[in-house]
Amino acid sequence: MSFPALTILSLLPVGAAVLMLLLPRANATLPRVTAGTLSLLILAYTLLLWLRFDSTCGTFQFEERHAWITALHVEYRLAIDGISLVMLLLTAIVIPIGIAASWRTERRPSLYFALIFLLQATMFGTFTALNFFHWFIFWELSLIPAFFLIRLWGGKRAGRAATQFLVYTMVGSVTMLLSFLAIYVATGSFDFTELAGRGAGFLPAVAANLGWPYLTPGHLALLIFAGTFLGFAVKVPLIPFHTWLPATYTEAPSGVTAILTGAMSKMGVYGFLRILLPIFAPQIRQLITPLLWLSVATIVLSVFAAFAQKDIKRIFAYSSINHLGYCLLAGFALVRTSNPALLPEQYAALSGILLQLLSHALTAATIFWFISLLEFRANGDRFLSDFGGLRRLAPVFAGLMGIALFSSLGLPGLNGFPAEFLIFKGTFPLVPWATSISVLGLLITAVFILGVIQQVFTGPLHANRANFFDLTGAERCALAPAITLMFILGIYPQLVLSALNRTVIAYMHQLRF
Amino acid sequence: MTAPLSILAVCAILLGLLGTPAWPWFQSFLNGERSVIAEHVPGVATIMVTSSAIALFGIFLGWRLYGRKPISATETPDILSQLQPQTFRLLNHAYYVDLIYAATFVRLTRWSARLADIFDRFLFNGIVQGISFGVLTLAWIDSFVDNYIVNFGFDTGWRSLSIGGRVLASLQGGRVQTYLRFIGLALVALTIFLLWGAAR
Repeated sequence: MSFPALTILSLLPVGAAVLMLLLPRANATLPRVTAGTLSLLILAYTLLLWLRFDSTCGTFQFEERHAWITALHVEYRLAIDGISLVMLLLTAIVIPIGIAASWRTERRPSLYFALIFLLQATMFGTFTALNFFHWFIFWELSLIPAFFLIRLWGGKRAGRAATQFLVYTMVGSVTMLLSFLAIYVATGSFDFTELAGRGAGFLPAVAANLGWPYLTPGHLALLIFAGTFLGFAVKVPLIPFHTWLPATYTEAPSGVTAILTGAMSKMGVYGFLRILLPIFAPQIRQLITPLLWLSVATIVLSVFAAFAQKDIKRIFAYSSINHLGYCLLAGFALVRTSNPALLPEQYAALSGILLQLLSHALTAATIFWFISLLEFRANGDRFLSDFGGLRRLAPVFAGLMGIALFSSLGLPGLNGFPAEFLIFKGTFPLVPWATSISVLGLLITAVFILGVIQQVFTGPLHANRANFFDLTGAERCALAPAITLMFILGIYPQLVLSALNRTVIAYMHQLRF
Repeated sequence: MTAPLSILAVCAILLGLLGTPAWPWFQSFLNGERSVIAEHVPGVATIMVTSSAIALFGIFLGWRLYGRKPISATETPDILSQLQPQTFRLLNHAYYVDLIYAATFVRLTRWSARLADIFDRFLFNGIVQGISFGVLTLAWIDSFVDNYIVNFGFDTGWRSLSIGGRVLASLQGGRVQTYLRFIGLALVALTIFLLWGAAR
């Protein structure tokens, strides 16, 4: 039996959570230091997996496969390819950022950090599972720690926001579960790779087997697709299934928002890549025009909505929808055509999606980290009108947050640029009209981010901010790796892309059947 | 102001060198290819000569107007405003580009942002709130039917049965003396009834 590297990866945060709960309550510093150290150890283990990952082949690696519930053909099957590897890495990077952003949590820090580790464990489980049965268990379990983190440590309207978040995502999960049960009843399989390998006619054949009255197999196939699609569309989210997000991101403590936007929202995009595109490609192709319109609407409406906001957290909540909208646009564009001449563009688009996921995780989490520092120094204020002229008092703060903000708007030299460049480079030849409209998103992002920089850091100093102080030495040291990584990924994206090339080729080969 | 602009100009020139048609290093870098210095790039010479000529003409014009006789005080009227007042006004307002821009793109962007916000708050959120309101209404109707129709009917029926049962139970207590008492009373009633009937 080979070394169960992936099971251990999911168990490490569970162990960390248990350890956090065992810590004495009296000491306030100990839980923070322990949580920070443990999250870095988990990051180190994930980096070790990255180093051991064989980037010369595009197949699944570190596979663990055991019979589990034989009567239901359910297997315990874990394995990762380049896509999962990116997800694991970004989760492992975002959690220490989330913990650092929550450093000043006063109330029950042990429980708070334990819940963060449990959330990490469920995300690791989701990104490594290849069987729907336990993938869905992790997918659903992730809601529980997230719900309590928002509900117990959030703002004044946290209860309402947490319930909205839970109910919304549960509705999506229920429709997805029904769709997968329909597939299981007809095929007897829950295995993602097996279902993806069944070819274009697979879903109508499943629908014909189910034989529902009043519905043709084609229509039933679309209904099954719609159920799964809704589950992921809510999670990412795609407009108009997004209304839970601004309230949740605003009400959650900033450290948790960093994790929600940095890692948890990626679960939705991962679902699109791992399940929706490979299994439901013919249905997506059938509905490509409305789906592209949805992704264009997500990009454009969210960026305009961000521009209209006054609350800084709400601005970046909408910005997050916008950035993930690019991933979905590129994702839908991948299945638009099977013209072999456009294969290099599809490689570029898929590489762009993966880089964008990692890049957005780093940038968005860091921006929410800065927002938590801003909130702390401003006694909880976070409206644009509450700030002004901070650069004079806190030049290092302004400089480093400026780098993170410029990374978000896609400035060349920082991590946002190569990701968005690859997405647009690949997507334009595949879906020219949708890409052309989506470029508007880049432009307005620049406008509202420059607006944030202008209103917060320049101009006359706000009367209430006379005591605003610059980043401390410890904060500078903690932020330095994140900012450095932004430059590294911006200047040398090949560091990540070279490890993913084979996966990208294998994935596109499978998708084109 | 001259110093930052000079720094920016130098940086722009240096960055421009990284993406010239003769040595497209930046483009090649983004495409993941090796950059090659081209010996001859067709069609570029005309653009280079034209743009350089325009720039040189501008420098010459600047020198002619201002270089030979520098402006000594800020109050001194600009020489161009005397020679060509209309041209001066056009240049002074930067070809009115900012004004046109503010009236069109900026206004459109702000208007679109407000519209997107209204869409989000009232349309999308309204639909969700509507669904939530619909579910709550259904729950309220269900609760009303449950409490005031189903439960009320059930409770009333149950209460009648219970009272009836209690009455019957008290009548059928299993005590022979009670039964004999009722039989005796019945016999007396029957005898009175028969006697009353015979008397008529």
